[in-house]
Amino acid sequence: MSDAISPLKGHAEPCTAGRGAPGVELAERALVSLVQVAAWPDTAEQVEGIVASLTGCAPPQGPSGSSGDAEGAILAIAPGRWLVESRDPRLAQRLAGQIGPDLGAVTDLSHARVAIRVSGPKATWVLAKGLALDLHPTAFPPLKVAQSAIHEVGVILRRVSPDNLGGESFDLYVYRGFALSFWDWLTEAAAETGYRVSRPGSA
Amino acid sequence: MSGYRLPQSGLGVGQAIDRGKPLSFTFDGKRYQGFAGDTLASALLASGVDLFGRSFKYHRPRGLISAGVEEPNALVTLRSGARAEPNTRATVVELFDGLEAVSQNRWPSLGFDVMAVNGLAGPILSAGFYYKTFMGPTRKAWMFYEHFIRKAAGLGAGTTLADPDRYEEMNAFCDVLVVGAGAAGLMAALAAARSGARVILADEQAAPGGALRGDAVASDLLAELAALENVTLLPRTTVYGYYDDNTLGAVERVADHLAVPSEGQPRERHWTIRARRVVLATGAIERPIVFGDNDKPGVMLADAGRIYVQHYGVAPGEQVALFTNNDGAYRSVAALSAAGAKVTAIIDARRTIGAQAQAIAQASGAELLLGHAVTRALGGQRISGIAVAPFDPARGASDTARQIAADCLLVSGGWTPTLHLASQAGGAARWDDTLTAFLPGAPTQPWRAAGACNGALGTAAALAEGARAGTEAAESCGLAAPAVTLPKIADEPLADAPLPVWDARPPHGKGKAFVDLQHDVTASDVSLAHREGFRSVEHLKRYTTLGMATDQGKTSNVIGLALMARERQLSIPEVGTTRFRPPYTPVSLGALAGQARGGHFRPTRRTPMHDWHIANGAEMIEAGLWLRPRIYAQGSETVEQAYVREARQVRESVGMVDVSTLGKIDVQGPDAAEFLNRVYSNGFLKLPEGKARYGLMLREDGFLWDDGTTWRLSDTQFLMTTTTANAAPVLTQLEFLLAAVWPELKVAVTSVTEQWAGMAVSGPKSRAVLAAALSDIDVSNEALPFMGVRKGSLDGMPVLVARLSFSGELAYEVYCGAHHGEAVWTRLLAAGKPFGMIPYGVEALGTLRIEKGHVAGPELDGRTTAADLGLGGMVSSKKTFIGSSMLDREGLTDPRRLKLVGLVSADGGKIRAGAHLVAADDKGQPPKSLGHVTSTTYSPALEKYIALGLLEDGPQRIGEKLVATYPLKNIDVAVEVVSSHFFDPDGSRMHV
Repeated sequence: MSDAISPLKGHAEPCTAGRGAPGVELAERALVSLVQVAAWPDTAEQVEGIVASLTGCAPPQGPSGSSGDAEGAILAIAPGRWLVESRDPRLAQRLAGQIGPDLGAVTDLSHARVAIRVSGPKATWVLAKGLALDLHPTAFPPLKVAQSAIHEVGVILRRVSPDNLGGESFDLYVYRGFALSFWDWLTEAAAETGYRVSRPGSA
Repeated sequence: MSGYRLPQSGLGVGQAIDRGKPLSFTFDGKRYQGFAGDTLASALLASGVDLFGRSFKYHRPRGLISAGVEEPNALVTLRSGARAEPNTRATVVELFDGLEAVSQNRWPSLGFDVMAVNGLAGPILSAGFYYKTFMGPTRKAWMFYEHFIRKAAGLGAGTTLADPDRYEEMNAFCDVLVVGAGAAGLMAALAAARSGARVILADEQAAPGGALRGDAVASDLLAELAALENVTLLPRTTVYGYYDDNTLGAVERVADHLAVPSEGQPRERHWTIRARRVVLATGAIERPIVFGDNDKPGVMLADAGRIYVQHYGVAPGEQVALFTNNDGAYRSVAALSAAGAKVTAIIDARRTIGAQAQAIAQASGAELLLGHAVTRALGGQRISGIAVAPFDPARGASDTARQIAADCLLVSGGWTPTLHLASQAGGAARWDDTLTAFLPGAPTQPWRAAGACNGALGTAAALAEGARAGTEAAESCGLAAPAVTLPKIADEPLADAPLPVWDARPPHGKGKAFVDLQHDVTASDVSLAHREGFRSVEHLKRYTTLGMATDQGKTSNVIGLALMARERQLSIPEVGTTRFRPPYTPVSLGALAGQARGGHFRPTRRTPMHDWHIANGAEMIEAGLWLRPRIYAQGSETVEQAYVREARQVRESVGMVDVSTLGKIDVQGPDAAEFLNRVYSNGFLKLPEGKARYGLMLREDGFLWDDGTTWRLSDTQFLMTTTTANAAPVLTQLEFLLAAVWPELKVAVTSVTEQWAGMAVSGPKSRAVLAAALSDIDVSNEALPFMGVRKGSLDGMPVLVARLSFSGELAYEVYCGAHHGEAVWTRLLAAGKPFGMIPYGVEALGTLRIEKGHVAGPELDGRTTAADLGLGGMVSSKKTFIGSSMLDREGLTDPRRLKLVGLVSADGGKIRAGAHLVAADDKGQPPKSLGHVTSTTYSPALEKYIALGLLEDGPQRIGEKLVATYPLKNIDVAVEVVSSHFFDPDGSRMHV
């Protein structure tokens, strides 16, 4: 899909800013499929089951929970509403094939969002400059999801499960049209602690 | 020249400075030396500087009063050029090498100030003088004089250059926020932290400790706190405001103590702190006593004198005198004596004093005058002596005075607890007779006060109160707080309880006696306010401006209340107190703006083809948050030349415009068609699959709200488009309707504005272009009729093609995944190259739609109905829908409502949007408005300036000659009223 162009193309090339060890690592993640699934009030449980079996992820625990990883993840974003990420480019068709109008609605948002990973020892510090959310691990544990705004740009935020990065790690889903504006904000906010931009798709 | 640096003499002298690190700085262009750890004030005092500025109104010479944030006098402009910052308090400016400061409110120089003549006119310039004198006889008089008055009064001037530094925001959450890291605050933070609570401890000073700063007790507590992971220490951070829901505002001065912030470092950071519980350990501020010429440089608060000696190793004078009403002030005498500085006289208003105070006085060798008061400071530009007279608590000071030589007078009138935050989030302050001070009132939010701000002035008491407050705060968060051991500390032998002495002037005292030094409010002004009937504290404050300067009256409020109480023969609590507003100390606008400045003032929204537009010479224009191509100028084309060329090319051949900004909403579900049928004024139930329909949405009150085409992609799925401006409001309305009004409908709505890139290919050659580019869609008139929608692909990229026309030409909208936007755009342009296809901007888009009489934002202005715009046929009478029940209101059916018409310039003049339409022979001033111009353009098709307008009896006036008048610019254009369908009225060009 060489014709697919990220709005960050040419603006988020690998680089290191600031002196010393970078406090955060920033990377645009490769987003293959991102699909929203909405169930009707009486079909929520059934639809959640279909989504879970199709993606191979456990159902997310409760509202604002999530499950899975970049290979396939389910984010609960509202009662009876999920955001499903997958490396399968046919995810939307497969979901729509099993979730007909009687069960709910499937909307492809693969082009509508840009996924950015913010990780490193200062990830929480940098994000707190724009997020009015308590990101302390007790209040915002791994796999928790929140919909909020950073500098008037809507974001969906997910704390990634503990990994080998040696620090905090968050996935952000940002509206495509705002992506560059958000990226500018993010790199300015990260200037204090220094940051490294990794190759797109590396996270 | 009387302040000087004390020699290093062991502990208790200059413990905050590093004599091994000299720093160089300038004040009013003159070079001085200081040490690392100095403040600008301490370094200047050490250099013998006593004149720091001129006063606000009388331009009197002023020196240092304090050593902290309460400073009303020593305000300077710090740094220069774009970083110049006026009105900074020299007492809290940390010295750095190369610091530049200049004095304020003086001309031509600090030593000789022409406006000091105001001081001679003193009796005239009392409270209310300017308004009484200059407000009449007319409003104009004040506007004339104001300029000169403002120039004479006031403080430093801000720079108009852009601030080169960064500021940012931070959001913090905690269980317990402790404000102030003195004895009480340190102990409260530790007690709370031991429970595991998340604690933030903020202190306005560079080094925490408060009155214990430099003491081993403070450093031990601090070291313990610093080692705890659940504690965040914020030095140089002022919590300035207490807001609802236990949200507090604070400013961290990250790099204010540096000449220039380091790379990436913000100068200041604004903290929004959301705390479950708050401990206010904000301390207390010493207050002066009023006497004649009490503003003379060299008069200083007693504890400030101690701080300059102990922290900075600076003696405030060579012959220091003390005037006090309490034992606590003798600590300053002890500190000066220990450092080898000379104290010549101690004047105590009390007849008896504590034994420890007596011992300190004796050891100092100073003359001790009990039952006396200082009635006047003597000298020229600085104090050279004091007048001293016997003092009786009931009758005050007597007129018979003797003089004592002194170049510095330390004054202590007791302590005023710092109640600012408590007052912002609490009830009325309560009076304490022992301390003669107000204490915090009842909290209205979950905070507790501890230490000096709660009246516990002694260190041991403050530690104990702090521990209790910290424990309680943690426990009320549901945490178990283990008991803490209090540090061992000797009992304080010097009590701070004062004899109430506010005004030491004798009956016939001379010299101005100041209450509020920053606003030049005198004791006589308070009496004047009383005589003129401004007796309530609120009126006193506003009439005299007492306490309204940037220092918020930290050293003057209580004295002002005491003087008014005396005038009214009431007690101070009966007179009452005013409340404090945020901020506790001034906050820079940069800190409040944070990153929201310049290009970040608002976020910018870019379409998928944005980078292509820029690379291909587009001039962009803001449309809400979006940036859209306005024109693609060639060479030196003007805007008009460019859009005329672009529009002409569309009519003659083919062009393409980026329409990605249109709102797009995915509407899905078994009841989707029914839902749309209730939302739009025209029918949607019978829209067949693969077809689009233009729909109108009304507001609930029947006025026109939004329009757009909605495409039926399947039996149960629609793609709705809205105007760019209403994309978000329409989605919100649809969500509301589904959640609250028709919850029984099974419909899901989702914004897909960002999912799709959209481009409109318009012009007689558009079909040929699409036929060349798309292999799997038959775009012939039969296969893809007007309003038809087809799915297909372009080089493997999925696309949606809809045959819609905004331009009036044969035209198609091509939608594709946003990430494919640029690829599809460039491929279509390549396919159109043989036909001379060009990109066009929103100016040409507007031209083409105006020529067709298609309405847009300027016509859908919230005041028009569908019928006004000639769209009455789209309002169904066979169903109910949002807005239908209000359509028959008198106002909406009034035949005199303005109606849409076309206007053609009759004299070749350009018609201005917003111009009013008036009769050609109307000589009225102003002429009667018959309507107004909404949209205007030069029409290449008609080769004239044309416009759309709303006009009384619109359609009946077709053929009439009117004038479009624009009085703001004195522009009148003769216009002829025509049909709004200027071009191709039968639509033959798009039905081919």
